[in-house]
Amino acid sequence: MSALRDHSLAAACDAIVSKANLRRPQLEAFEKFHQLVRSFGRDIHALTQQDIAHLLADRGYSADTPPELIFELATGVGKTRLMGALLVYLARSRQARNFLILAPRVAILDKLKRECDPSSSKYLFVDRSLLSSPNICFRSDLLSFEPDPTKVNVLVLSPQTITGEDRRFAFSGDFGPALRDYLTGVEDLIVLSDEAHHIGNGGIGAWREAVSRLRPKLYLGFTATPKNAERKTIYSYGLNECLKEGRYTKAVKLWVEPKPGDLTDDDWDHQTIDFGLRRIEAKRAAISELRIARPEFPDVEPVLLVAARDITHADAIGLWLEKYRGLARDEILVAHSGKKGSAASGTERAIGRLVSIDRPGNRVKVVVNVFQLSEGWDVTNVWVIAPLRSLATFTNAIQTMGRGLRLPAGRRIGDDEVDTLDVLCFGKEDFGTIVQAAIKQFGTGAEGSASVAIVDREAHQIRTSKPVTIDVVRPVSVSVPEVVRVPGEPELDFAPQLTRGISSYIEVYDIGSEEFGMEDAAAVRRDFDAVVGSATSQVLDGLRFLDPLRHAGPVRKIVRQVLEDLGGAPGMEISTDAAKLALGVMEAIRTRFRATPSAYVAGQQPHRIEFAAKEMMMPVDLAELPSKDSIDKWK
Amino acid sequence: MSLFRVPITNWKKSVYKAALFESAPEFQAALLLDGDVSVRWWFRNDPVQFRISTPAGHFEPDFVYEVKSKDLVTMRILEVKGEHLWNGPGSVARIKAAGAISWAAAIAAAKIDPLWEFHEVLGQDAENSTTLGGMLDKAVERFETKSAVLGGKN
Repeated sequence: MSALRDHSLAAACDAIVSKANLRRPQLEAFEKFHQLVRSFGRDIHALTQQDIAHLLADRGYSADTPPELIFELATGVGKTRLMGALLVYLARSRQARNFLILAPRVAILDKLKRECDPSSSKYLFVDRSLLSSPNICFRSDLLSFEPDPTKVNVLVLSPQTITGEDRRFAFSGDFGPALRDYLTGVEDLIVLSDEAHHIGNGGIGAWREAVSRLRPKLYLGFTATPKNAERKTIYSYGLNECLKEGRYTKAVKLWVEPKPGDLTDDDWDHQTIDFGLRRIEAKRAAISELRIARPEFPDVEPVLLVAARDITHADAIGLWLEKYRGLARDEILVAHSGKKGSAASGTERAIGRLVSIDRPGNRVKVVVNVFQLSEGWDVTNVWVIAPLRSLATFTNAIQTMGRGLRLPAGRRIGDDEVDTLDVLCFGKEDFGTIVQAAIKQFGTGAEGSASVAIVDREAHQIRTSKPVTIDVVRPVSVSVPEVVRVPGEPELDFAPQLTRGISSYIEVYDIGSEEFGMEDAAAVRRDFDAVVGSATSQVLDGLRFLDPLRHAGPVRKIVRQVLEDLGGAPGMEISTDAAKLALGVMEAIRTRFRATPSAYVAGQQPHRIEFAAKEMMMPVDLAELPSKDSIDKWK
Repeated sequence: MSLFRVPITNWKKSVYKAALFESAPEFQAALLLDGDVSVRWWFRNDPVQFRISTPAGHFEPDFVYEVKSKDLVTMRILEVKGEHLWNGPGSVARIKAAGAISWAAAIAAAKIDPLWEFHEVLGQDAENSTTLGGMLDKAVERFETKSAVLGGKN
């Protein structure tokens, strides 16, 4: 074992640890991997696949090829950060210069792309000083990317791209060999796989096969839910441990209430959602209060996530919220893969909307989704989760809670309400059954209860507020004149700078990354003009304030400009998804309309505000509502 | 105990028996409305019953109230805004206020009776005022119909 090699590895390890600010589980995983690589005795690029497989087998791991190691980290702990740190470590210590990062979803690829930007606060490669300008290839760069043997090459792709159907990956271009041949030829390819359980899944043999064909020296998988990972897991920090430690995710409170026999399913859905809405109000109040003392806490809108049985059920819940609970249409996000078109692109579209709900300016208060969208998106502002009907079981509640565990500030802040995710388990299982299930999952006594608090809604008087009916005492009548807002109209002829903005959006959502698990993931290619036509009509359809007669021409011109900036031209067959293209163009147009003052015109049909008794919440410990005259100073 | 969003009772002119508030300036504004002779009634727009569409999303003002002065009835909208939300050109609050002004101006232009007026008051100004008129004088944005007489004596 060379002292020089040891020194180089230790120096790389120290440099990264000093910059990366790793959390304890990330650090433990990182150091464990460092010790393993150190124990190999020779650099990875100098070892064969077989050598490494033997070395791993000697240390008790599986002897499979490609050699595979799985890192299990619970949602919210920071898998991506660890992945980036390990990549930089391997590059800096000259173990390898060629890396392929696989991620199964457009939303995740999109996030990785943003994090490859050195100005990102979550810079994937930890710190610019550690790795000088890596040569990065995203899917949209496949045609132009040239691997540089003198640099660190990082390809960020979806598994679908490497399975062989994508011509740009599999076939040689005009200027060099196909990327697949390049990667197969190098001596030091490391594959890092985000959400690796999709690839570990036996049903997706084609992906595994494609990775094998590249003959990587190491395959590193990162997942919160490992599958078939026996004798491959190098480090494990699972949900149980994470919840027990209670540092990196929200705490979880499981509210239990079995459905009474005399209620219909619909009625029970509504009562469950009403309770969820009240919990969300409590969260909102707690956040507002917190932000007075700590204005640095992110100004986020707490979201209720309702899990519906199927698409029809989800749509019905969305309509009910709008009609009977007075939520505006843009406050409800009904997310599912849709009825028409390919389920795959529908899912990507839905997830694209889901991942944006914790950005500033989000208006969504309730997300209704269908169970298959229960992973692949992570936001920080889901505070209450309500699985409905047959989904309201302990097992499903545990599975679904991953979507609500992330903390907006990255750590707990000491306010119980803000630090806690509420999961409603209002189904068939009673309190006793769920406690038993929880003990089985998390252990008994203090240990178990540290993981998940279970609350029997009736037996525990933990409600802090109760509803009170507020009557109308001065009946008045208000006639509100009809005033129509006519959005002002900007020039629909974009400056090139803005067009470039759209282009990068399209690159992110580029070119038919299909749903995972599809065997025929070949991108569908369509004629350039057909894509322009389809995207144009989707924009006109989606932006109701546009007039198809007047605006079709300018919109078509913008759409075409975007594609041309991406390298397209009339006559070409392209695989850009028209729906995603339309989304980008719509957002750009909407932004311009928003920046243009509206005109208001009085109309002919006033409406009347009707006042009726309404329900408000009051603290349970108050015998009666306080009088204004009893208040010296408002607090 | 915090009074945050706790319904408070015993108003002389509130449409509802109780109204809830999220800050001291909102509560103070309600006291000024309730005590002003020209105000016939007011309601706290929470839960929201009145909203105006603007380019920055719905404007949901804090109060709607009716004033009567010399037989002239006017509807008024009052928004109390924290300074930190108001500050900065192009803030959402400013866009919404501009929308509310245009909205009221459209009604005035169409000569619909009663006319509607709008005031946006900063939190500090509301807290430091002792009369409705005094508070409205400090409004950072307003739409007033000339013929209407403002808050009490002015």
